Amino acid sequence: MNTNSLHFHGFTLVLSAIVLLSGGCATTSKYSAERYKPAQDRYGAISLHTAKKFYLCPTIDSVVPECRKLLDPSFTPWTYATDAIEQELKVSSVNPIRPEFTFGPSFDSIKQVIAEKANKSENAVYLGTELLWLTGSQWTIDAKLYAPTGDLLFEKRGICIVLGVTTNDAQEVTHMAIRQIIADPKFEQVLQ
Amino acid sequence: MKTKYFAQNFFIGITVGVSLILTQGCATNKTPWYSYFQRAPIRVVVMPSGNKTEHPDAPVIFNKACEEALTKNNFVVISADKVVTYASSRGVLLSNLSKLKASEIGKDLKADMVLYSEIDTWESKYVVLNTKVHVAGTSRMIETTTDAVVWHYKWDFQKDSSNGNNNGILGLLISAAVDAVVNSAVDACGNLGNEAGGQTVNTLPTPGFAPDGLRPLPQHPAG
Repeated sequence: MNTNSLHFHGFTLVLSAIVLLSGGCATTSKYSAERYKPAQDRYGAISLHTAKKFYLCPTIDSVVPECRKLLDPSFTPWTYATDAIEQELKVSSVNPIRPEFTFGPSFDSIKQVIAEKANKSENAVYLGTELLWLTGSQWTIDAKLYAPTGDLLFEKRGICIVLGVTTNDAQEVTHMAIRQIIADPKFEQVLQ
Repeated sequence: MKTKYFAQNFFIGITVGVSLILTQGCATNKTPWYSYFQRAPIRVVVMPSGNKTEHPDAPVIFNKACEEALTKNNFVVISADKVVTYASSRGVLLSNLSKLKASEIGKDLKADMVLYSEIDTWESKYVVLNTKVHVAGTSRMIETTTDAVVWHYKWDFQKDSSNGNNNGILGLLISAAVDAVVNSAVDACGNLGNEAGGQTVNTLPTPGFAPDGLRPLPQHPAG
């Protein structure tokens, strides 16, 4: 074996390790979801009646890199999540409104913008959500409900993990994660 | 001199490459930071497992293993034994218990979650020179305040006690004899079922907040 060959084999090994590290060990198909349809007809109604104005802030996209690489590049997780929450709220008799002002990509920013720009005399709540993981088998989403003053009224993480189970309903995981937030009795209390 | 330099380079390449592969691995036992509930304590009811097998001890072993693993993972456990007492106090047959909504059970037992399991397979097959053990089923964790599924897992564990590195037929026969004695002394299914319960629970989200080391800074596509 000559020196060039030795050098080449050493380099090849390091390169292989780097490829393994960046690619991970599992082979996966890219995930994308069709437009969400509310699922309360299958999993039970969530009744939320409120006299308060309900502002729904766009979902913060904090999908972690391990999850992002599983997603189809043409799929936009935050629009899908915001739309899914909005649809479930509408079925629950809440009419969510999108706020006119824009927010930065964190709960701190949402809180700050609400405290600065929201109409303090308005009987309203603001729902902010942050998406951490979204695939057909797992959803992790954090939610915080704010008063127009920026005070935190409710917070919860919704998680749904389905492993090795073939589900007939592609939207079950999405619904269950959202359900953990909007069907929580403390969430309902805040709306009263 | 030049040859020595390249040879050194070659071995460094091998060492770095192999150690990188070894340290990377394919799986991690750490709970990812996005799989923490962000609240604790979480009180979980372990429902007596449904049993589709002919082994009456299967649910007892599986429930016990789940309870131990849940306690280890910082859940507050309301055991299957307590659920049996609860059912009798309510006048509900155990077979009808699974028909009650998680929210109802949670309200009565002051629990946040209910863990349901169904055992489908619990068997060991003794073949010449070999023992195959297979346990399988499904488990679900339901949140009591919302009746939402938090976790749904199809578990399937198989163990093959064949020994690939025996020295000839005599070695195989001795190994088979030892296996037979061991398998008659302790229940091979029970051991694997116990392992299955523990490993199944380890795939659940964990109560509380992720330690700082497991919580990377949020990343945003814009920034």
